[in-house]
Amino acid sequence: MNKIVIDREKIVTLKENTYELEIEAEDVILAIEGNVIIEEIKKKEENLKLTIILKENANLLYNRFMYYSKANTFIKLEQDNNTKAILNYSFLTNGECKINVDPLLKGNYNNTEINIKAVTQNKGNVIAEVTAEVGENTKENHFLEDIHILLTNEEESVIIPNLLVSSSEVEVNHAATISGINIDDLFYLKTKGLTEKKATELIKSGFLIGNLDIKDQEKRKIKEIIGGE
Amino acid sequence: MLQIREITITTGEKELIKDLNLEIKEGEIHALMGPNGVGKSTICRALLKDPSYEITKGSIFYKKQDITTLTTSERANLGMMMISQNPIAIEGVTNAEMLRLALAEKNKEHIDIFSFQKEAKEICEKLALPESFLHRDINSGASGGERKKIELLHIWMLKPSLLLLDEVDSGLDVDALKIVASSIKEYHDLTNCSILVVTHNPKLLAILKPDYIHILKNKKIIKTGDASLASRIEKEGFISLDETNEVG
Repeated sequence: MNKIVIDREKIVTLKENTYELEIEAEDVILAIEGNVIIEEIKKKEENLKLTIILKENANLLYNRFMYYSKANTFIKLEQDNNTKAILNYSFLTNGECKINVDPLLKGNYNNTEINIKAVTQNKGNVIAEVTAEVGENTKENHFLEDIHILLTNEEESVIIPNLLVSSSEVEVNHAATISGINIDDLFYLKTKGLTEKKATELIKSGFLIGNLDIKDQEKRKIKEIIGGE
Repeated sequence: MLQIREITITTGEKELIKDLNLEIKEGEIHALMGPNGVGKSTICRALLKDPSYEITKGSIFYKKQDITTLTTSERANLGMMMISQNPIAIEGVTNAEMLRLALAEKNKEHIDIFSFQKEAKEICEKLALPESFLHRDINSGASGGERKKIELLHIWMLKPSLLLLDEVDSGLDVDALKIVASSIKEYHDLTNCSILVVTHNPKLLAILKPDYIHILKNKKIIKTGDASLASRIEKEGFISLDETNEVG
């Protein structure tokens, strides 16, 4: 896996590889060519405008885990023709989080999945707005946005799923839920002897990690970040 | 081992069980039978303090300790464990991860990863459960039979002294039922644990060989007998029973 640290504003082209990404800059453009896997795992406060451009025939799997103290994050995803993009975005937050993800399907024969899972704790809250736009005179595009927020505090969180579609030859779906921890899950783990605190931690990390298509080593890294709070 | 003294169980405003008494001694197997919806599962869940139910009267003693006010995890760490008829799946939480944390909690010590893996592997082999299940999410994508085997794995690893089996035969075919019931019986014979089993299934009872059968009706136990009582229920149903004890 190649490690890339982007510490200043610039355009970075990623080609045919798996990348461990670390973004320190506030305005970044990623150009994707060929088959690319990105993994990004970080504990931070984030203020980011990230534009991802998938060139023709490109495929992207982007697993993003963040442990936020605060975030104002805008991700723009532009897809040309015959591309596939999967953004698995999980985050745990202790502070205010404003997350915008705007996929734009400009061409034809594109597949897009936006999977967002967030957990709020302490003073954390989330406003998650995903606005998918399918351009005029396009065909055979498939888009899915799936957004879930798990509340473990009493702060208010919001999901705004927008679908702006200007083509009839398209399949566009969305799902959005906000819920607390399932009491049956909690009871089950407690019947095995786990305390409420340990059971809650397991459920939170399982909820977030379950959204990511990553190997055990990365899972352990995330658990260490969550456990070290 | 377990003494239930005059407990009343409610959910919301509704009274489900009234003034129930039951004593299970070490190593004894008790079966709880009764018409559908009479509250058999409620008793199992209330014994582990399911938040859906409240014990408004009476007390529960386990290993001579009043556990009525203890939390679910405190009761589990004293040795109580339940297998429900449809064990739930928990996304992102593996069996190994949960078991290691539960063992650390129960034994109040760090769990050696190598000893843990060795023991878990041996138990998987004994249960004919692929070792990969250890690292899979709890019950996720598992069939009914696999879920019960996963719960058996939890039993053999966590070593409870009281098993509450709530229609454990549910969803099992004949072969799977035999494997699950035989494993529970083997665990019982090896550890001398106590068992309270809720079931209507004569095949399960034939393998477990309960010492006592209790019939629950009208919010309480109306009849207690030996294994022959289950055969009678099988032939005549619950309607014919009057409220007398035949044994004990």
